[in-house]
Amino acid sequence: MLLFLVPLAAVLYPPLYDRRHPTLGGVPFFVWYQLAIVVLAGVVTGVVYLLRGAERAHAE
Amino acid sequence: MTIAAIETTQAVVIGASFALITVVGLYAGRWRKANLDDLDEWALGGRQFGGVLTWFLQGGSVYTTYSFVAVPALVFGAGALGFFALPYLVITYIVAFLVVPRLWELARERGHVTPADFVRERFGSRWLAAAVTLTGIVATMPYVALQVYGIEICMAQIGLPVQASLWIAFALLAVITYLSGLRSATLIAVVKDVFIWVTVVVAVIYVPLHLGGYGRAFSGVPASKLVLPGNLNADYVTLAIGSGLALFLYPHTLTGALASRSRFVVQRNSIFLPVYTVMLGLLAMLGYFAISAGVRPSHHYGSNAAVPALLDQVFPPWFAGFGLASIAIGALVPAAMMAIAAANLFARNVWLELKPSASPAEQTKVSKLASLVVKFGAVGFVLAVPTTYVVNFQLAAGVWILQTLPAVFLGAFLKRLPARAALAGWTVGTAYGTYLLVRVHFDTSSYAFGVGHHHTLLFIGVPALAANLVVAGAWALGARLRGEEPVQALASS
Repeated sequence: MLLFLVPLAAVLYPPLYDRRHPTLGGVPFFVWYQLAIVVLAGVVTGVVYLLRGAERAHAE
Repeated sequence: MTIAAIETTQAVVIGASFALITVVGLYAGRWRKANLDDLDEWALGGRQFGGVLTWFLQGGSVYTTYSFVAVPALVFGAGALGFFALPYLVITYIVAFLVVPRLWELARERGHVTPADFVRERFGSRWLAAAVTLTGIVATMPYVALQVYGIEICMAQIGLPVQASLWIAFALLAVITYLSGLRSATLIAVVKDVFIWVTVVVAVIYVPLHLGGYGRAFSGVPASKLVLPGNLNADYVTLAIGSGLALFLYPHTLTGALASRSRFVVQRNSIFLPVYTVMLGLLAMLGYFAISAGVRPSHHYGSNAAVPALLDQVFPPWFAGFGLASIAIGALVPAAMMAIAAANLFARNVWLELKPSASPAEQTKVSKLASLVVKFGAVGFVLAVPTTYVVNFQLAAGVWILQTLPAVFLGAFLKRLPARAALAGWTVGTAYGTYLLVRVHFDTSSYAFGVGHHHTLLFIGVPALAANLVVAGAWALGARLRGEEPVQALASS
């Protein structure tokens, strides 16, 4: 569950990503960084879900 | 209205699209046939949807006109601030993963349909349930109105007569929802997604090419709009936190979750729903592209018409019509879900409270009729009041719904939270939030806090929630010191 702190910390402090460079294929850093964190957050959620697999197997 | 001529091709495309969803919506009533006089069947689709359907349905409840129109409009008008939607949805799904499965579990055990059902039983308090019901209905209405507004912008872009086309669109939606309930919203959500995805993918590839590549598409935007001014950092973060905590407090998002087959479906969707967030990020970029393309949205709708005007300007008429249809259908799905959710609140937490003998069939009847009132009320509201108010009321709604957090979210986890503490917190939070909204004349949802010359803009919902939590916490502590035992009506694991 503490894993959730990773994407949260990554988006909740804007000075961390509030710049234009480096751009990715012309897209400003500000935009593509946050899109990447959205994907990362999904992956982290997936990992937490799998790690809780044992508990789930017990319940279902 | 600046657009006089009707774009015939676009009008035909959007007409055909509405015909398609009407057919799909009516078919939905026969799909997985069940007794639609039963509230669980009509309002929650029988609580049986698996992962894929719930994904479509939740996508339909989370990504609304707010995403398709208001967020790109904010990027178009204000710049980088509009991207707060991305951190907002990161937070949303973490909340959804941690909190909503618990609410699902309790709702399944006890047959709850609305958040107020849960609060009523958990706290054994009529007053707290009434507060949650009132907030839910008051906060959902402007959200429905915002959907109507989104459709209005599309119709106006095509040049269709706004009043007539809105009444027709909502008459169709009303008939479909009345007959088929949440099943229709689910199937239409599938159609909507096909439309929206095609539009977004084509737009983010085609529009930059049209403008001479991604680099050019961004270099046409003033540099000041591409990054967040340092003094807006706190506003950005509080908007993200406040909206992220608020989203699953809205009754309609909970409806989407409760319709699922298992709480694990809800959890798995927190993994896969961010796919839509990526789409939203791409849509937000269209706000920038609209600047580069030199789009001049109609004076009447301002930056809210930025993306519709961009589609209209860049694409051939048939595809522009397709794109506008997808935005309009993208507004119909959440509008249907919100109407169902608000109607359920009325049927379960007002009607049933006043008339405890009401049978399930009677509750369903009341809910169906209330959903009609909500929809036509929203159309009437949008046509009657100046349009800027529509968006502003939606912002205010976000502040208000956030104040139900102690009752709905904390109530699900903290066994020792007494009803009066949650009610006191709600009262103070709502009063303080409303006071701040009045101070800014409901023009914005942010307030400049500070002493002397130091001012920091913050999203009003967050300080109001802080006041709410402090009062609720102090009250709970006081009750505990006095040795009062909280009512624990809900026997749970």
